[in-house]
Amino acid sequence: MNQSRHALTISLFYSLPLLTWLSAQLDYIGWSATGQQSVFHQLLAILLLFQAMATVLLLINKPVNKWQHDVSGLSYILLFPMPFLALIWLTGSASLLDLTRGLVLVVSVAAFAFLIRRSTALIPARLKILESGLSLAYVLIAVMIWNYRELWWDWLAL
Amino acid sequence: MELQAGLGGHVASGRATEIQVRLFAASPVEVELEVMDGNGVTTLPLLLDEHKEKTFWLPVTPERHRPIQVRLLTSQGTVIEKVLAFKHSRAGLTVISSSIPVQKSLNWHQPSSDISPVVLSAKSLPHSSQAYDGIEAIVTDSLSLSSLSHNQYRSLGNFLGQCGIMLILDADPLMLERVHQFSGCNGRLIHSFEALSQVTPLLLKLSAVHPPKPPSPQDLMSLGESALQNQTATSLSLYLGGYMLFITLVSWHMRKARYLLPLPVLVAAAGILAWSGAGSHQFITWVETESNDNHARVSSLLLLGGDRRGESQATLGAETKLFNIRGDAHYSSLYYPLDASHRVLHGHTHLLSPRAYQLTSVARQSSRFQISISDGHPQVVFLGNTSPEEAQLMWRGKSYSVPVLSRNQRWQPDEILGQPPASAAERLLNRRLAYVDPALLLPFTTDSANSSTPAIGWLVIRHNPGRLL
Repeated sequence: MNQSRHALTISLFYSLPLLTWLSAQLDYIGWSATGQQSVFHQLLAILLLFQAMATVLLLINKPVNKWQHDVSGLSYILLFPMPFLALIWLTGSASLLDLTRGLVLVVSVAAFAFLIRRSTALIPARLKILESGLSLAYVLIAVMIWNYRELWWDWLAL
Repeated sequence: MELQAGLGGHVASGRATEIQVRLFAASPVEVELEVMDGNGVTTLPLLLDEHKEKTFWLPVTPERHRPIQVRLLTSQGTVIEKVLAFKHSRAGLTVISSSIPVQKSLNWHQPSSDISPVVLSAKSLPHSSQAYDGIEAIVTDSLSLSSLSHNQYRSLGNFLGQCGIMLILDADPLMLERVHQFSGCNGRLIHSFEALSQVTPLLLKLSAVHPPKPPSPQDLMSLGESALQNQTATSLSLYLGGYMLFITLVSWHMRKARYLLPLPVLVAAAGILAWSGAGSHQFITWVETESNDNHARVSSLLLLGGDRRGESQATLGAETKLFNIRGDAHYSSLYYPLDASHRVLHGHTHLLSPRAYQLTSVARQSSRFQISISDGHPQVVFLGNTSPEEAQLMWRGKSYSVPVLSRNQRWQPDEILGQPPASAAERLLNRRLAYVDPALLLPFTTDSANSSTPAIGWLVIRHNPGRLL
């Protein structure tokens, strides 16, 4: 499975349960402005969290291949939830500025993960042991994303 | 620019009142008057003549903790800005004509917390129908009534049409009969009184037989909102589900999945295109009248937008009372066109978040059904030409289907055929009805294809209890 398909699978994996949850919530809340805002705020927070985690999951413990494949996979992760983000904007739950800040955060995580990945290619064959250390860095990023989620949700005013 | 609060600056909390605006310009100028109150921004375009004063009354809905702001704007920007505060009272106001010393009677004989007396001269009585919103009763005399202006008469007629309470000192029977004819509830809430000591007991008795207040916005919402909301919620779920299914199927059959990268952006753009732009509006209407009454009290819930993100607008009658009940009022505006025969309500709305307004007005209509009590059972007589097919009679907590009747045909319900109230409208009517009182429930719809104001609604015809005093 190439990186694009892998990214698509990961994106579908988290967005299908999200869609089920959102459909149920829309049925439940009615046309209440506050209820609706709260649901779409939660949707945005979960989307950004899963997107950031997905970028790490995409690159962890994979043989190094062409950088174009990695970029293509990461682009999939970043672009896949666009229709969700469009709906969040249409409901007025988040401004374009809030959405941009969220995307900047995810892009930063993706760029960081990508740089770690590319640095793996620079490790000489006799120091292959260091690759395990870089994998550990991915795990650390994932743990930090999860552990400090409240912090950056606050920063994004979610 | 000079401002003066109507009703002596008194207002029943959360209700409408009016302000007098006096404008004077040294040279001819086109201006816009902006009033910021509980309903948002009301804009009134005006043309001021040279050295001529322009005076008019404007309905406003003050908020408890915020004075209303009035701004006069020209093409160069703001010219004058003023604020006006009101004295809020919890109970509805009882307006007493200053030509009769009845206020002493109210305070001395039987003081009641249900009565908030406000003493006004005849010329200070409301000039717009909306300003009667916070008025429960009027205590006046023939002299004051005869000195009202045309606008004041029209507004008073509207108030009486909506079953307003009025006591007239030593009213001539002929004059009283005339007032009964253009009053709602068959005129039973209009009375004459001779002694000042009668005022408070009369007001309390009439308040007790006053028809119930219009259904709350929440009640009206329960009648029609879910259908509107379900349509939008389902289309959103289908949009997202369809997108995921499509991208899965296409990527499955495509050798190079990276070519699908523009797809999410295209789908998002399509969603924005589909759900942006001018939204629609919908009325959910509840109309109540009494048997033999030519006046109907109309209470509507206006849902503005909610099906799109963008500007939505609806046109309202000039005399319709309007209350913003959902959505930030400061993102909506009312606009009076120059002819002032109607108002246009604008609002920026988001997807799934319609603005909601409660509207109340009075409608004149000829009676189609007559309900009376015969041998302890309700009797329905059809007076129109084409009998509706879906009429229901509510009586003693049960719902009875009224058959299609021919003109002047009588019908009485068979108690065995009574069903518990099934629909939301039947349940709402049942809650608003005394157990022994019968009432007819007639649903109606206005098709959006044939009307600019799509509406679903119910007409309730109550039994006329007759004069009780």
